[in-house]
Amino acid sequence: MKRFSVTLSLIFCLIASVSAAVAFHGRSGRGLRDAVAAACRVESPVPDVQQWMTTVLADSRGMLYLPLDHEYVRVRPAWPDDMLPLGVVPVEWWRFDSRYESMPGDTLQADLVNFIPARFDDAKLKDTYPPADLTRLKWTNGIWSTGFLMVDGIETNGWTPPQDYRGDIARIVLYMLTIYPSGMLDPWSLLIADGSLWPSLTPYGIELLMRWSREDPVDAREHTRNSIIASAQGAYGNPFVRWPGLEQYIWGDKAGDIWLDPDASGNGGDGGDDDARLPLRSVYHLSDQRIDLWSPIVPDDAAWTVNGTSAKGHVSPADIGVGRHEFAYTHLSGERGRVIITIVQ
Amino acid sequence: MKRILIAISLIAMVSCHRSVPPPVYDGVLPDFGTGGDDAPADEPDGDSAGLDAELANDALRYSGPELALDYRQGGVMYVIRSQSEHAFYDIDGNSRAIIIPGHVGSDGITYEDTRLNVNGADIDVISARRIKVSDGLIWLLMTDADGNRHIAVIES
Repeated sequence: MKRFSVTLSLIFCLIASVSAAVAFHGRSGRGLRDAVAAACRVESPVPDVQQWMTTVLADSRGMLYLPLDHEYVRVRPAWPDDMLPLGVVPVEWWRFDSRYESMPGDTLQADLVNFIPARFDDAKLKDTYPPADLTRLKWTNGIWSTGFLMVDGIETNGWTPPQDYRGDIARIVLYMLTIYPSGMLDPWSLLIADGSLWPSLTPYGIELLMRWSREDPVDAREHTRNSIIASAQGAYGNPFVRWPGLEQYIWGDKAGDIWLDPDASGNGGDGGDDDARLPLRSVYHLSDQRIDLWSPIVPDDAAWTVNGTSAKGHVSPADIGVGRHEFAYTHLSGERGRVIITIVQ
Repeated sequence: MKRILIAISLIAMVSCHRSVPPPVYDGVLPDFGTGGDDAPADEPDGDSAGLDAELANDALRYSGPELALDYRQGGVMYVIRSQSEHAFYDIDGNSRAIIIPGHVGSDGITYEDTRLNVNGADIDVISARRIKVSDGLIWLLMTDADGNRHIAVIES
């Protein structure tokens, strides 16, 4: 089994080496979300979140802390007795079912993206309620608030972060529901999460989190926090911070559009660069400019055929017409593959 | 499922500080996957009962308890590497199944050292055997340690 894993690792390393773009470049919709989830999992969880916060997050980087009170939280040189690392998204949401068993590699309780320092009293007030727009306050310190909101004529509980941290919170929630989308059984989660693999968010959650993210875009403080987290636990940290606006392509006003990695060579990120290759996808429209004969799972120097006819670089949907078409490739290594692509009006 | 609903009701009743219930809970709980108390394992390894539909379907595919990828449905790339590794990829997303059948045992039906990886996770295959061969295709029935069936139809 180990050999198998090593083989797979080598394959994926080879795949990574042939593409400068991040793995979810050129994806859209659920495929984009799934690929983001696969590419952004925690690679090396820290053994102790509290210890990491104490030793790594220096007080000179106080900007890394979310203000849970009127001033920034300081956790150095020693962790205060009245504080704990608090999950912005409560891990209890996933632990609601007593049948839950932590699986090997489960990083839910050690994912630094989700944790902020908090005082016990604040944490108790926040409880496992979801983030929300409140209509009636129960408690506030002028920055953070808990209270009530009306949804479908029923009053329920929630909490609200300060105005200039709502985007930060939204992106943390989106990250958690992307990386750990299923198994949420705590009813308090169901205001914003639907517990499904897709779309994972309720209409209320989509509207709220997209709006918060738009109104409070990623800033330097959030980038810094994310860079430090990414260096500690691998991957990219929070992709919605690393690539601002990515969430809008999955759930927001650009949902369904193809997301292009702005860091990819030859790609301006606006979708208008003719040199940017997009990976094969299952469906194209006749009006699409071209179909690139490229996929991150296919060797770059593979030889392609379309419906049995040799092809190179890209083909035009208009040239091959509406219908189902077999795209196949062979490689000098002996590898071969094929896929059916559909072109619609 | 019934026990979960009861548990939710009890928790809602005893959580005095949570006097206001969430509004969107409609009693439909997310699927928690297989392996729990309420999710009995499939039939034991070696029992081919209930496979008629699978045997009648000659589409290249992988189907298991958590994933199904069918080449004919489009958007699923079927890849053969070095004649021993067969892989199915959802080209729009990240779903994938990779099968290495291993070598055929002395009975000519069972496969030894079969390896299966689904969405990046190695599956503990405890038995694998060929249940049909036709027109250059092999129907491979694999059973994992939890008793779940995995079917792969691959090129021979």
